[in-house]
Amino acid sequence: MSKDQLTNNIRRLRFDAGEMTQQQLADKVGVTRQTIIATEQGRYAPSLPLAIKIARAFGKQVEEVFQLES
Amino acid sequence: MNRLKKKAWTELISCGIGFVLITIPLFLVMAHTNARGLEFVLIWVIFGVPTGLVMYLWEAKKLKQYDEREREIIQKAFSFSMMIMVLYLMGFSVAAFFLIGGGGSVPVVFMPLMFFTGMFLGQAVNSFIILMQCTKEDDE
Repeated sequence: MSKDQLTNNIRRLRFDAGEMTQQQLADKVGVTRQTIIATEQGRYAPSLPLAIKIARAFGKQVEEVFQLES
Repeated sequence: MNRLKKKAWTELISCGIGFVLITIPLFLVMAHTNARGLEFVLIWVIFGVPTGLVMYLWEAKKLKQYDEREREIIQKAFSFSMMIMVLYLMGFSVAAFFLIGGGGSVPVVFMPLMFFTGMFLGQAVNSFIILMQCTKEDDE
């Protein structure tokens, strides 16, 4: 059985959104900067509500921000 | 220092101070004076239960201020520290059985001693795991 891995485009999307900082994104979605860093680096898989909040912060759908790779 | 690290250090230090300055001296005085009896148990219940309840409510309230990743770290650290505490208590009990033998006896002073040291160990492990996790994240 292959292990699924959650990847994301948060870093690219932050820069596309006027070089938004990790702290600004964290404040926008109501988490700490450490959580954004861990999520961005793929070390932490966010809950569905947080994933939706992050996607909304960029005006995107969840699938456009997060991808599941097998 | 992030708030999770702050929490771990605060709990570790306050638990250490409480253990050394309150628990151990109180325990020694009680053991030395051979304090016992139902009224003595009631004093513990009257003071111990509200204190425990206040501490629990305080912790539950504080938990809400953390985000989901921090709560996950706190819960994992708590589960692991509980496991260590149970293993310690099991080890202590079984070691006493094997060292002294089934027909032997131990002074009752060992029972609260086992409990208090187990509690302290659990708290220390809890804080240590949170600190380790934070340090690992800082390095990354």
